[in-house]
Amino acid sequence: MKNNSHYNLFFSIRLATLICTITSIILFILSYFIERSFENYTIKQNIAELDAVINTMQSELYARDYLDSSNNNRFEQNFSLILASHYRLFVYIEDKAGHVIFNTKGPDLLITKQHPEFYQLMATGKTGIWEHKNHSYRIAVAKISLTDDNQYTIIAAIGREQQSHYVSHLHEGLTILIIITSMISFVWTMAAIYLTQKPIERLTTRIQSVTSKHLNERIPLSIVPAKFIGIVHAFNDMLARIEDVFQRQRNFTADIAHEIRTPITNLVTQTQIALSNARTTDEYREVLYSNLEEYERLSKMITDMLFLAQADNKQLTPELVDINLKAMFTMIFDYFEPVIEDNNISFDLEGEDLIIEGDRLMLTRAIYNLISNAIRYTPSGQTITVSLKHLNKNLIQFIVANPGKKIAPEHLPKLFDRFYRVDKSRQRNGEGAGIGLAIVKSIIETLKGKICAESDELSTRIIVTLPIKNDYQNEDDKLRY
Amino acid sequence: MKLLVVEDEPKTGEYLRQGLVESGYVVDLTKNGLDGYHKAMTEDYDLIILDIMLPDISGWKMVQSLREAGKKSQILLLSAMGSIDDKVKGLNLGADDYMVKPFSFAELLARIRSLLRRNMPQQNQNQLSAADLVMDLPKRTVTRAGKRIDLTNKEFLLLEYFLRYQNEVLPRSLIASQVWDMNFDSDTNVIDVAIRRLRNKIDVDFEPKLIHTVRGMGYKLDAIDEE
Repeated sequence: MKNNSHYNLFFSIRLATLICTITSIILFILSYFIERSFENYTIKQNIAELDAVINTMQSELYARDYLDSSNNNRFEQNFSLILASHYRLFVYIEDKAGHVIFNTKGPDLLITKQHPEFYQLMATGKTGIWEHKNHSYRIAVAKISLTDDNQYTIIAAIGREQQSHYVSHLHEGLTILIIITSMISFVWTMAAIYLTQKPIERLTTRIQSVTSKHLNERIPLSIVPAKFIGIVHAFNDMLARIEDVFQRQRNFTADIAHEIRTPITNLVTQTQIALSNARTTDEYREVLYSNLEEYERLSKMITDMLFLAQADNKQLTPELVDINLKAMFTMIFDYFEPVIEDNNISFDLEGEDLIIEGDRLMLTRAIYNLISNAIRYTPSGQTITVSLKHLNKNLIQFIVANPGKKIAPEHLPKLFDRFYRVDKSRQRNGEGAGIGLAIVKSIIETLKGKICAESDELSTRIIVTLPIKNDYQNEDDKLRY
Repeated sequence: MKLLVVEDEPKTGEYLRQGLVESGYVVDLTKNGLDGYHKAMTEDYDLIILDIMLPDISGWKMVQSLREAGKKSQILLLSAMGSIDDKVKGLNLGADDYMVKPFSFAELLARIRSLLRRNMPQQNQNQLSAADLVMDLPKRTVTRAGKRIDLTNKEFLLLEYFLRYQNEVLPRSLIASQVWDMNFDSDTNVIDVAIRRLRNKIDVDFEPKLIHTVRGMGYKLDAIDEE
């Protein structure tokens, strides 16, 4: 039990770690994409800003040259106003001759002209990254030709610090999110496992307390949450079935002890009385005959028990041959003819010729026991009816019906139990009484068939279903047993 | 007729010997497989009764060795193992019959007689008789003291069986097996009823009585009335 709980803890930690790891990996990938797309967004923002500034500068230059060339001051003022609304944006403008027209304070943008990529940027209109004095800038270069004379070069740069600042901020936030989420998922999983495990552990403890002596105990539905009620029901049902089998087995053991004790007691008493006084030879002989009868009864019972034990342990291997069931019934009727004539009862055999694959000896024995049983309960002057028919292409059915007293429904399923008697007080009646139908059931099941009983005021019917081919498998049949 | 019994259970062996000697056979008894094998190889027995589970060599092995050595004795296996597989194995190895313990002595005796008879020439009879009872096989008629007796088919077969094995005790189980083909431990009172009905037809109105009950053993057809 101790080991078990260790194992459980280990198992929960492993599962929680697994779920936590998976959560972290998913979040990590997600945040990577979020960061990348945010970064792209800020780059686009910067580029758009640079474009906008250059465009504005262009129109301002146009205005200066053609509309209001006199007012240079106003022009510079306008430039400064435009740039004031942009954070860390620098512009340098020169004309064709190389005169500086406008230059913001800050990094010396003229240096960029020395970079080989400068003219490439100017030709393509793309932006580039410029590292200068521990700062990083995105720069754009534009050459503007208003006329042949009025040509300007605009260099615009925007500091990238802000952008990387945002990105690293986002990165931190996402990392914290990942850590917290992972921790929550770990704790949550542990809690969930614990909450699920607890009722299972309670259930386990209850199930462990079930022993063969306490088979009547049932697991109360209240100890588990609703989702486990199905399991508890199934387990309780299983217990009921096992209890039933156990009960039968116990009765059987008690019955067999009783069945053996009675003849042994008879033998002991008889022998003791015989020896207590001197007897004539004839008297001794009489005792021996009487003993012999008891021995034979015991011997037959043991043989039958052995047969049943072999059937139970699946040690009976049927020797399969084609058997004409109708002919077999006729043969057995033939055998019983003297007895039924004596008892003034008769047989009626109806139905088709049925050929099935089966073991001749086993089937003879089963049918013999069925008929013998039917004769025992049929009142004088009445008829035992046997009917045979095909159920479908795989199965045949025969019914042995004998008139007689109705058997109450609760006794019917137990009719095939060993030593089961409808009338508990009934004494042993002839040899093997109480075991014949159990043997029939064993044989029919060995041959993969089914047997059941029905009873009403008119008659009691034993219904046997057998496969025509012995390798025929019916899942339904298997489940039933 | 000389018989060898190989049986390691002392009580069973002793009773078998006594019963067989009293039935008129010369019987040797050995309590283990080696002695039994030695005796079987050196002497000529008409029939060997062999237990399968012996302490030294198994009955299976002995049957095989004896048959390989060309011994022609009839072999009857006795065993507590009663499955069909065991029987088939025994018969395949060369045994002539197989009986499962516990067995009735009457049946063992009847089977021994039947095995020993196999070696004798079969006389093809058209007529069987006992005292003044005559059975005509081709005509399927039975008369007693010249009076025609009507028998059912099974009664005829039953009487024929008794007539063929006159003076032998026939156990009920053997009758059930031979006449009705009921080869298992059936409820034998059916046989009693059948025989009572047969007696009503052939014995009640006649003297001497032919069919006798041998208590604890079975029935016997005997023309000499012992009563």
